[in-house]
Amino acid sequence: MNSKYALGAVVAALPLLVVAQEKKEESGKESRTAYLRRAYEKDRGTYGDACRAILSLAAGEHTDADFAAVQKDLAGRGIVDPDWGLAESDKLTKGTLAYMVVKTLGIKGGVTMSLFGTTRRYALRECVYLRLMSEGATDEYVTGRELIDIVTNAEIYRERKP
Amino acid sequence: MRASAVMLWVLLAASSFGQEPKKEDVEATLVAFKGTVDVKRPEDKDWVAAERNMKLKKGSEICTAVASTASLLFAGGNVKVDVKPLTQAKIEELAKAGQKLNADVKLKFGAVEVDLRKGDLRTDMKVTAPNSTTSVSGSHGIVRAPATGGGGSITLTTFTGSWTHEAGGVGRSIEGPGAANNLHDLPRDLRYFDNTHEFMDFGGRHRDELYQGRGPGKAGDFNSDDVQFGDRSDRWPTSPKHKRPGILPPPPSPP
Repeated sequence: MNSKYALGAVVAALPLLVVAQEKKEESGKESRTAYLRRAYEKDRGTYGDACRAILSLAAGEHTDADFAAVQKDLAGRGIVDPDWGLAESDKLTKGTLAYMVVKTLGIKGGVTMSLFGTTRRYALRECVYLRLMSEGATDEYVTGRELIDIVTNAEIYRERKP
Repeated sequence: MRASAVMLWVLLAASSFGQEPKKEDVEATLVAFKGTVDVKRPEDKDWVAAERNMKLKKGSEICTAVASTASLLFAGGNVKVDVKPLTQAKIEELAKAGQKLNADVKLKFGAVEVDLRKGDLRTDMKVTAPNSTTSVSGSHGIVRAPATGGGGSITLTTFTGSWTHEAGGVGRSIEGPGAANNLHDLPRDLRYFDNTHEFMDFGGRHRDELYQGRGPGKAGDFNSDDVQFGDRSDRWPTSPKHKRPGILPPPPSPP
């Protein structure tokens, strides 16, 4: 009889154990702004960080989705080119970031961009003209801090856009 | 007997005069937020998602993501601090001593909009970045510390009141609405350049009308040596060019 009660108690406690395990997993999860604080400390910004920040800018909200889902979403919006074949940990270049910013903000650009379409080179020139980014080569790496400032500039640009 | 009573009264009065009011820690309230906002209070092990009416005491940190903002009220509404998107800030000091409120917000990167309202308390408010301190009194304005500047490059947009900005051992005061009147009550923009230790003031209705002054006048005053913004583009970190990129040759065709 006693063993019956003990078994019953164990069965009753099982859901509690599962909830406790779930809570532990939740607490072990990274906070939603952690990638920004990590980017601030990085000498080189990564493509993964840029994708996450740019998607937040485009969608107006943060997503906890993994990199593949974020990239698919961005490709669907025409913000990244799936043919780039970039990985999450790849170093971010100015040209790539400029392309993403121009596409997100819907910047039409000047004559060249209107005629030949958006390329990383033209996008960077447009971003420099609009003071969203500093001058540099398209293959130049972007620091984590630059990434934060550029996304901030893009957000301010969007707010002030007539 | 009477003389000794007077002496005792004088001594008591003198001792109470020299005594400073007791310092008492107060809390800020996160009254509203939009988007993704995380906070880390001194008792928290890790960053947690912000909640409305959360109490933040001295040592608490706040971080906003893209398209996210938070509003903090200090001391029952005397001071309103709006944390702008992509900002990390810490409440370094928040205490009340008698009728005086001491508040110090440390900005790691991003921007805060400070609005000191009239109330019972006299507020001594500071916004500090790694290499600079901005003191605010009876004012409304925005302090921005770009992440790349390392705290030396600060953008200050003031709307009203009195501001003092110190960086790299150089101080500069901006006096309230009087200066703004010279620019038709438009906000001003003060930038400090870490490499040259110079302040530059900007004012104007839009980008092409910005003037920069490096003279001794108040921020926003036009000085004789002021030059139009575009003419000094070589000094600007992002080297703004006031012409759209020209026609470039078409990109090379793939092999």
